[in-house]
Parts: sequence; C-alpha cells; structure tokens
Amino acid sequence: MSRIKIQLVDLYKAFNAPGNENAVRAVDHINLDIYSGEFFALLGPSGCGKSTTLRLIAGFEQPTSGDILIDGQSLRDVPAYHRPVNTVFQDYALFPHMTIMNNVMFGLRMEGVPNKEAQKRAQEALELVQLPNIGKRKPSEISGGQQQRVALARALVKRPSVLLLDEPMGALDLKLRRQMQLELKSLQRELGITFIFVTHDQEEAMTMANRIAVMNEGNVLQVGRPDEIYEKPVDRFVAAFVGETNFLQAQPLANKTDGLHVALGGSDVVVKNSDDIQTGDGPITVAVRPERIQLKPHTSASQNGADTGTLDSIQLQGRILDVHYIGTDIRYVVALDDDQKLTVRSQNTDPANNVFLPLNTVVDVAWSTNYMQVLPA
Amino acid sequence: MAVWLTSRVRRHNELLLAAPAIGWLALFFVVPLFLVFVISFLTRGTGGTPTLPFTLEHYDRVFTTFSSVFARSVFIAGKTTLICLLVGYPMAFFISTRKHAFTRGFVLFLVILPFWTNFLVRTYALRVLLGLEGPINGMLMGTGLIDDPIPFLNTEFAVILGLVYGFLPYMVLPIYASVERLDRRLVEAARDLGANDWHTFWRIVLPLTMPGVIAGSVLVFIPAIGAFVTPDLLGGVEGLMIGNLIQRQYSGNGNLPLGAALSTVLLGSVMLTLMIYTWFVTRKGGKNGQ
Repeated sequence: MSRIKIQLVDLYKAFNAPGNENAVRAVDHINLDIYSGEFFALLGPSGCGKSTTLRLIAGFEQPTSGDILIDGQSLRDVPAYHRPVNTVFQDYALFPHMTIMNNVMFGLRMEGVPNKEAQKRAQEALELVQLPNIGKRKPSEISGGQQQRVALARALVKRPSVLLLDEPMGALDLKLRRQMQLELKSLQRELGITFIFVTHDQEEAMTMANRIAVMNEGNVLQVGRPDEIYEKPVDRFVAAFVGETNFLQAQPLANKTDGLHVALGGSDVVVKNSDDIQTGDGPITVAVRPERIQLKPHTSASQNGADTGTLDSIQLQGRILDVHYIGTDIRYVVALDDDQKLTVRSQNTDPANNVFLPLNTVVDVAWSTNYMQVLPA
Repeated sequence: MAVWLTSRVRRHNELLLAAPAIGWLALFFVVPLFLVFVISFLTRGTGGTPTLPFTLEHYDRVFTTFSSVFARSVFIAGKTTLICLLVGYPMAFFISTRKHAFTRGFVLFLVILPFWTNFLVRTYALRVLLGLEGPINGMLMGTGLIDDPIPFLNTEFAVILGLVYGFLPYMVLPIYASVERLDRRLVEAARDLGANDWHTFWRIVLPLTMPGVIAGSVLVFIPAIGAFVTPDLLGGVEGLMIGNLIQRQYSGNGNLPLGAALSTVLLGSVMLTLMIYTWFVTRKGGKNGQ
C-alpha cells in the first residue's frame, strides 16, 4: 500500500469553449499520489473534472500542462493504446458487432497473444465475473448488469497495472448496484490491482474506496479515507457533498481561556477547536451532522444546564418545526431560538418506547464539540 | 366471428390505402415490364417491329456479341463504385468530425449542390472542361507541363470521371449517416484495449459503418451500370455501355426485341445484385442487433 503507483503532477487541462475567450479549466493544476493496490475514488458533482482526470490518465485527452507518472514513468508521449491502464466505460462501450468472447479477446489479440491462449484467458476472465456461459452471445442479447460484467472482464483480461472505472454503475438499478459494489470491492482485494473509480455518488465512494479525492470545479478539495472525509471535511463544500450536514452561523464574541465564545442559537456557547479563527473575523460556520445531535423534550430539570453547555458539549433550545418518519430514523427539523434551522436524526432503535414528538414541542438539543467542525464562513 | 369480420374489414381498408400505388405500378411498371419480357422473345420484323415466331436468338446475341459490352459496363460501374467509395468514405468522415453543426450542414449542402443543376447540363459542362481546347488542357499547356493537348474525351476515363462526379453524393450521404451513428466511445475502447489507428479502423470503424458502405455502393453501382447519357456524351466508342446499346435499339430503325432482351438481362443482373445486398444486410444487421 505504501508504494506510489500513479502520480498526477500539477495536472492541468483547459478546454476552449467555442465563442468564449476564457478557457474552461476542467482540471486545474491538481496533484495526487495514488498508491499501489489502492481502491481510489474521484468523487464530485458533474462537471467537477473527475471524468476528465480519468480520461487524461487513460490517454483519451492530452494535458494542457503537467504530467502523469505511472511507476515513476511519464505518460506524456505514450498513446492510449500503449498505456498499462484499462478502462471500464460508463455505458460499457462493448463492440456491438462482436460476440462477448471476441469482445473480451480483443485486447489480447491486439497484444499478439496466440489465439488459443487468448481464448483460455478470456474464458477465465468471464468466469471471474461469473458469466462463463455467454461467450457466444452478442452484447445486445445480454442484460445491462451482464454487459457491465463483460466490460469489466474485457478490461481485466489485459492484466492492467491500473484499472480505471468511469461511473460503471450509473446505468444499473439500485439493488444490482449495491451487489456490484460489494463484488467489485472483493474482486479488487483479490486481484490487488489499483482501481481508480469515478463517481458522483458519495455513498458508493464511501462503500468501496480506501481513499477518496473530493473534487469541485477542477480542483481537489480534500484527499483522505472515507471516515476522514466524513468526520473532518476541510470546507463547507465537502461537508455538504459528503453526507448531510447542518451549517449554523455563529458570531464570535470573545476569545477566552476556555475557548472561543460565540453567539449561537440565541445563546453564548464555547467553541474549543477554533485555533485558526480569530475574534472579530466576522461570523463563523459551525457544521454538525444530524445523527450526532441528541434531542429530548425540554423539562425544568434540564433548565440549569441548558443555554450554556458543559465544556465538551453544546446545548441549545429549540422548537420542533417538522417531523419525518423515515423508518431507520426519525428526522426532526428544529428551529433554534435565533430562527436557524437544525436537522436532527434520531435512530429508530426502540419504536415501542420512542415517543414521536409532536410539532411545536420545545426541545433541548445537544452535541459534543468533538463532533463539530468550525469552518470559515 | 366478429373479430374475424373486423380484421377482414380492416385489411380491406388497408388495401384501399395502397390501391392507387398498386394500380399505378401495375399499369405503368408491371405491364410494360411484362411486354418487354415477351418482346425479347419475338423476331425482328420489318422496320424493327417485333413479330412472331418466338426465338432465343436475341439472348444468344446478348451473351455472345454483346457480352464484351456487358463486361465493360460491369467494370466501369465497378470502378466508378470503388472510386466513389475511396473518395466518399474519407469525405463522409471529414464531414461528421466537424465540430460545429453549421460546418457539417454547409459541407453536406455543398455535396448535394450539384443536384440543383440538370444532369445533362453538368455532363455537357464536363465535355467543355475536358475538351482539347478546354480549360484543363489550357492550364496544363500554359504551365508548360505538356506540349500537346491530352485527348481526355471519348475515353473510358472520361466516362468514369463523369459517373463518379454524378453519383458521388449517393455514396457520401449513406456513409455519412452511418458514421454519424458510430459511437465514438467504441473507438476509445478499442484504443484503450491496445488497438492502434490501423486496427481500430479495420476491426471497429469499418465493420460498424459497413451498412452505409453497402447502401452507398448499391446506390452508385445500379444507376452506373445502366447509364447512357454520360457514356454517350463523354465516352464515344471506347466508353460504349449497355445503356447506349439499349437506347440505340429503341430509337430509329433499331432492333426492338434485341433491346428488350438486353434490358431483361440488365434488369436481371441488377435484381440479383440487390438480392445479394438485401441478404447481406439482413444477415449482418440481425447479427448487429441494429
């Protein structure tokens, strides 16, 4: 895991939009190290540059500047057909005029592998994706899920050093998709090939990847393990794109020995992890995940603790605006005293005793400061 | 019973829709064609009028005396088709790879622009261009490349040039349509799997654009083999084609039954070509699932 497989060095790709003087910076000077045997996901909304990055690695596009290294070797002048990478395309791109067997054998034939051996290896690849008996059929005669597996077999049969996957699950229905995600992950573990996976689905990226690069507008915003991305998003975009987040505005009041005092939800609360935020900087943003918030009906007993919070937690008061029953969770939308809205997910673990709180109930909400991010406004 | 009645009525109505076309074709196509077929077995009477008895002598002449003209027609049509293909395929590719829709539309417009002028006029124009004192010879002599004018006219070359000029759009348009339909991602997939440009073309691009190639070839070959205006104006004796021969039998004091026999054989061979084409396309098309 520690050896670097692919290095993107100051990679830049600009497309000249017709009739527009300003070039579109599809990939804007990104640097990435991807390790050998890693399942790496490029995650971002459409148009963020993730697919262009993949196409640059595959060799379908040429970088405007910068370089791509595989095992330390520059790919600058290497055409797509000489690169040690293979691609699983979004719509599979199986050759419609060839049988499945010939599709899978195509890459081997191009390498000059003798027919007999090519046939044997293609059959093995089809067995690997659990489709040993469809070699004689045409792509139009098999289902979408099967086509996806064939596309995988066709790429893997070349024994690539890196496998590129461009939203390969995009066309599958949810159930098949979940199944393929698990299969793909175990296949990757089994083969030990470096996978670079492009997706706009954060759940898919979290499920499968060892590490994720979150991209937006041609930039890599954050690289890290799924839990790092989820727990410590570097900015508002990452926090919002990966999972659900509450963003609350807070006005800094004073920096004291116990931390930064801010006005939040109509109370004076202390924010600990605020080293880089100075008072007088203007409002800050506090991000907290809905499932990390405790919610209970307000009682007079909790009066003393409310509005101040202990050193490690923040407690505020609010009023239930909306309730959604989701099944696994009950989701409350709470209006704080300063009218900011907060979404709270409380797990539906004990339906018999779980009181479904009615609208307008006055509640106490609390969360640990450890599970809270302070972001620049 | 009721269902049978409705379906019968419906079928009856549908037949009514086709009735004008069927009537037209029967009167002006099937009946004359049948007459041609019958006349081809009659004897040539005085002044060329066909009379009894029935004979096979015209077919005998078609396959002996005129077999060389037939062969030449097939060759000329074949060469025309091949040249149209070699010129038209890259051209269709060029058009479909233009980035802007306007450029594509404009070049396609240029391809069909010659159709705006009468075919006969265009062929006469070629005569002028290719003549001994025409602009082409004038230019070649002016630049000192040649000393004496080249006799382009009345050669097989001139006929093929004229036919290619006239029929090129019929090749370009169907190929353009099939190149347009080609999924560019398949080309990327081929390159990704290690195919260089050469292999990508022969293994992926050409097989997938084959329907356009075949359609274009049929659309060029069939009118080319029966052409008579172009060989008449540009070919002289050297470029004599089966179309000219047929035309001569039907005009002046020609031999009507011989003309009919020539027509029948020509029609038969064209139909055979079409049948092979249809068989080829349905077999390939079925396999492609398109």
